[in-house]
Amino acid sequence: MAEHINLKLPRKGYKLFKSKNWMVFAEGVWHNNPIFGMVLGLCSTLAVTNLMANAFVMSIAVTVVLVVNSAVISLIRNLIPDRARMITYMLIVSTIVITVDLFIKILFPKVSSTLGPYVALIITNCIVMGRCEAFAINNTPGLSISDALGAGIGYTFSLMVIAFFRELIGFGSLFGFKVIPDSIPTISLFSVPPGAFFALAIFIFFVNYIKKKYKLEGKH
Amino acid sequence: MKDVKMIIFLVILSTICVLFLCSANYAYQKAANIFNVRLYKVINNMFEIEAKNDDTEKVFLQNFNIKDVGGVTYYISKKKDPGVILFKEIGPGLWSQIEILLSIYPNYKKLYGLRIINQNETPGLGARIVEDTFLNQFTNRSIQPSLKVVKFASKPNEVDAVTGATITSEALEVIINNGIKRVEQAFPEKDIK
Repeated sequence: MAEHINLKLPRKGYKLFKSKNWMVFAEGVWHNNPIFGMVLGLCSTLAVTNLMANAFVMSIAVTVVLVVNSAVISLIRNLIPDRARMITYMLIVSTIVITVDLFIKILFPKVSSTLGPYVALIITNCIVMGRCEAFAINNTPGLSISDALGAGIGYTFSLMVIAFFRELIGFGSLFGFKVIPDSIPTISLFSVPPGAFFALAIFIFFVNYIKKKYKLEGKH
Repeated sequence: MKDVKMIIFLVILSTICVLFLCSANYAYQKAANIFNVRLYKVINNMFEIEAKNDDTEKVFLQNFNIKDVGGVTYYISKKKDPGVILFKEIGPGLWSQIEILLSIYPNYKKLYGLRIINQNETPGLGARIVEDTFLNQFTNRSIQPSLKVVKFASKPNEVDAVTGATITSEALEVIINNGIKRVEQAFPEKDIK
């Protein structure tokens, strides 16, 4: 059912790396990375990457929502009426997101208050919707989970890299621990939202440069 | 016929989602209350109010008012030692955050007492701040001009530090004084009288 995915086959490697699950996973992490491949879900990316702790909790939340949601959608994919696809996604996504939000409120009350509404706004995150519509609706649960996990790990990777540089340059700290002495001034531009645009643009530039240079681009 | 099928599907799906969310919310309320009840128990013990395990919350609410000012919850005693303000304060210790429960007389001249809610200090050294002998020093301790944790306490606003745990003791001093500053801003003295 997944013939439409056009993947670059690895020439050598273990069985795991030749399996369909792995290819679908790798596709999400690199070629179709939500941030620098598909350029989706940027609103929350720009907002939460000022601190690594925030970015970490946010990306874990998105990954959990992605995986659970894709699994549920692909399990009931034969029951979903064609015309009511979107509303079905919305119902299931919002149920999962609200539950995850409550979990974070109990486990990390401090991070939850700094993340503000962004966890609840995962409901409207295009990555989640995109994975449902593009993959989970016509693939088996196993493949859909690999796909969602790939997208989630890809999202986590991008967010952590951006947050690493933004927190390092903007606050001189990592995960809240001071690593740059006070004598070296920090550039607070990187800790405010406009700096996020610069950081994201520079990040995408470098990734595309690496892709071109080492010919890591997938067939599209 | 197709439309009817679609409507039935959506009704069933919405029902399942709503039921799921109801149970999630119920579990959340329960879990959130566990933390509150734990705190109520500590406060009841501090004021020597007796309560059975099941009605800790009920007895607490009879004895204390709860007020939210600027996102922080303050508890104000009604019956025993009326006017005493209690609140939680959090700050960095040596290894991780120390969370304390401060209580203060409404004229801001003396502490009523101090309890540690959460800490991860060095066992045997910094972690000794939870011991009664250390905590009892804070009972009725003067906080004018500010509280000090020192080696040999002699003045009314000084308490003995824990031997071998300088950083923890200093951190605790900072947390307490920050808390006092905050409560003074939240409730200027006139308001309480």
